[in-house]
Amino acid sequence: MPSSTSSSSSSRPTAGIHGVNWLRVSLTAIVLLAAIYGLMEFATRRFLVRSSKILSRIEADRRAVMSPRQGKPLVVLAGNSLLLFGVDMDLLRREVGSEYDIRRYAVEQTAFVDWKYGYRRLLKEGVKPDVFLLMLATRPLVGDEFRRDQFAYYQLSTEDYLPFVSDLRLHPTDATGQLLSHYSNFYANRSDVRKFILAKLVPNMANLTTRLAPVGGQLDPARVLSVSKERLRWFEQETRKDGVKFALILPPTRVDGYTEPVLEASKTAGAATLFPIAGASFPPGEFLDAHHLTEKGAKRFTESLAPALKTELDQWRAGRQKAGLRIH
Amino acid sequence: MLFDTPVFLLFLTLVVAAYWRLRHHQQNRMLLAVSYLFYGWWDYRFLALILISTVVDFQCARLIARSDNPLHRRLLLALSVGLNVCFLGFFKYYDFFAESLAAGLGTLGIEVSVPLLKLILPPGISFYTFQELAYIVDVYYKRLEPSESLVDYALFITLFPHLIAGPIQRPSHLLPQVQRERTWDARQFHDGVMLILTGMFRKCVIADNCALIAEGAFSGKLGEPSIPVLLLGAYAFAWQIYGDFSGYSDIARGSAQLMGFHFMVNFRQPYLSRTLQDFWRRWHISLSTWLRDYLYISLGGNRHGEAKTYRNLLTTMVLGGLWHGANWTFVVWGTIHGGYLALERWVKGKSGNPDAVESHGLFSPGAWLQRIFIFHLVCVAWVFFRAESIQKALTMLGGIGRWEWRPEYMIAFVFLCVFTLPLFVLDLLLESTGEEYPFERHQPVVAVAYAASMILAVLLLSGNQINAFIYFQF
Repeated sequence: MPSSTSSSSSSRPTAGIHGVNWLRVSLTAIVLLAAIYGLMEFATRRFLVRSSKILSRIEADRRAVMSPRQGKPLVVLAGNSLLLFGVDMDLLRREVGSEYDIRRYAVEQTAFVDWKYGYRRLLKEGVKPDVFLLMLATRPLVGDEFRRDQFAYYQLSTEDYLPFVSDLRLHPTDATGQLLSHYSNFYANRSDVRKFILAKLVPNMANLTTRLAPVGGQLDPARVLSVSKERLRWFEQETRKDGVKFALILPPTRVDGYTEPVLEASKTAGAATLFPIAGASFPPGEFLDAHHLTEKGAKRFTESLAPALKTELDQWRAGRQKAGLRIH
Repeated sequence: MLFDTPVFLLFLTLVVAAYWRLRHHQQNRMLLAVSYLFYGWWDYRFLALILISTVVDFQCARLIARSDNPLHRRLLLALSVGLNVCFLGFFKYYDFFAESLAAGLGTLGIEVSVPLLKLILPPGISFYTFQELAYIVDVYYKRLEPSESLVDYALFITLFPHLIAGPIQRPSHLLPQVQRERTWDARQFHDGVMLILTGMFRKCVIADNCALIAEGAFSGKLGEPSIPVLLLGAYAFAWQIYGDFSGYSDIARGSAQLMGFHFMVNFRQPYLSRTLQDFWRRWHISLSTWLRDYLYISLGGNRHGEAKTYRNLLTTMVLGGLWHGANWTFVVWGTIHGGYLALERWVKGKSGNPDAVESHGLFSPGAWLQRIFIFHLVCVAWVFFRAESIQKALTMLGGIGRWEWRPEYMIAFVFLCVFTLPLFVLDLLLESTGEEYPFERHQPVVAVAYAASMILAVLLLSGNQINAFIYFQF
């Protein structure tokens, strides 16, 4: 066995393969890396959305939001899986009334950062909502988590890249990774590709990843108050500049949702917040887990949300009519 | 910048492309500049620290070599060693010792308030400090001529592939390479590319995926400690840290090799060891040999009787443990290994030559029983290395007395097998062939096929978090 302090050159016998252009072999390996990456990029752009239920549903929501207006006020309801599980959209549209065109845009695992820049990207892509509703629980509202690489590709616009890096004070390594994700579909979605492969290799993998998912710690109510005030104020001012009405919808949760500080912050920030029904009003059987509602729970929540939302929208509409402004 | 990120690959490509267009001295200056850029990318605030220690060591070495006065030489040695140890001790261990002192006095009923500084650890300080110490000691003992070029010496210390987490290079090995011209060798370049790909596989595919299970076990997400949780946590971490560090070392060696430098081998299939002594000849070789040559032998080694040999072994391993981090868990980890080595030596001494080297027997059943036994001894120590506190480590180990089964445990074991078996097979291959990466001595078409499979595995199966290499925190 070679000496333990040997270097790779002094201890190895020569390869014994002569007449080989090793530079060409190395360059072939490097070109192969680029070619395989290119193939992955092509494959994910072409096939990933079709083969992923989640991505195809998100894409369907996105297309619906971007489809032509219907001659009535456009209300975009954005959020994460709490929106997806918690609101019965057909029921909501029926209860709020057909005078509003309510379209859902639900993207799992999104939080404030995703929608801060996601909202701006929607506008850049030509979507012009009259009302923008954001449905987030307290933790994703005040936390700095975001959907990472998929956010950079799907929700961040190129012009917002530098402000985003500065806003989150990203380390240069992280920032360059986000830049690559912004342009590369494969790089942005590689974790979904990995999950897809793992699901084939390891049966019932999802049961394990659910157990290993990170759990948030306690929140500081004072911090919740200050951060939510700042963020709600940002949304209020940003949407007002665009002539868009903004409102936050707080979903019910089984655990302490820290809703009081958020409600207080929204008053100070001048942002409308709807909290139609608390989690304590739901029997435990209407929650799938600490946050997500069952179908029955979603019906209950939607029935509480609809009148509150209708009131909010009617007031907004009346205000615009009184000011002589266009409704849509 | 982390080795497994796109920005590092871009950085490496640009540096290598520019490097081979330059002459020797220009190469050294360019490498020095980009190495400082690489270091500053981590945290620019500590550039001054590494610059100061580099300049002081450089000057001390030159003055030591020029002086015949033993007192002057010893004072200069003390200055250099003292400065390096003070920097390392202050930034890495101040809070640890302060807290430990306060806690210790507290148990004696003496309440003291010791201010904590919450210092950030300068990247790579444990590694470059050991390199600087080796250099000054070698110059002092006239084993090495000092460098007359500050650029060359600074490059020896800061060459970016090894700067943050080793392998710890010996001055007699790396400094001459820095000082002499490097010639282009296509075969070495090819080997460098293959090492990088192999390292990426070890780190991104094996280590980052095993980390999920290790974190789940040690954080309690998989449940209270029990036999399955303990086994999952210990096995997962054992393969995580091995994949992580051997992967990093391969990428470091491969990157250096692209520029004509040869770094020492840092791992040789450690989990195929049949004794603990063998394990330490295969695990983190650059550190273990450094400890042997600059600490164990300086303490007297095995030259002054059995009792002092055991003392020296234990001292070396305890300090080696402490080098890994400012936490009593690392001290316990080192102590356990010191105890293992001492016990093994005693047992061998009873049955013959205590310094006997085991011969290889890759496929014999007896050898496999030994390997499994040694692997589990190492895993027991890893529990302390991974746990946040001694109490948590003992709680985890206490799970050996409790049985609980959940369906997720089978999924976790299958997951672990999927991600450890490839590395295990890779190690068997390397052990049987003596190669440094698989198919090293095969035809080019095989090499290209191997490269393609590594690339595919890294692209498709990399763990999805940005996990810094474990040894970066040391």
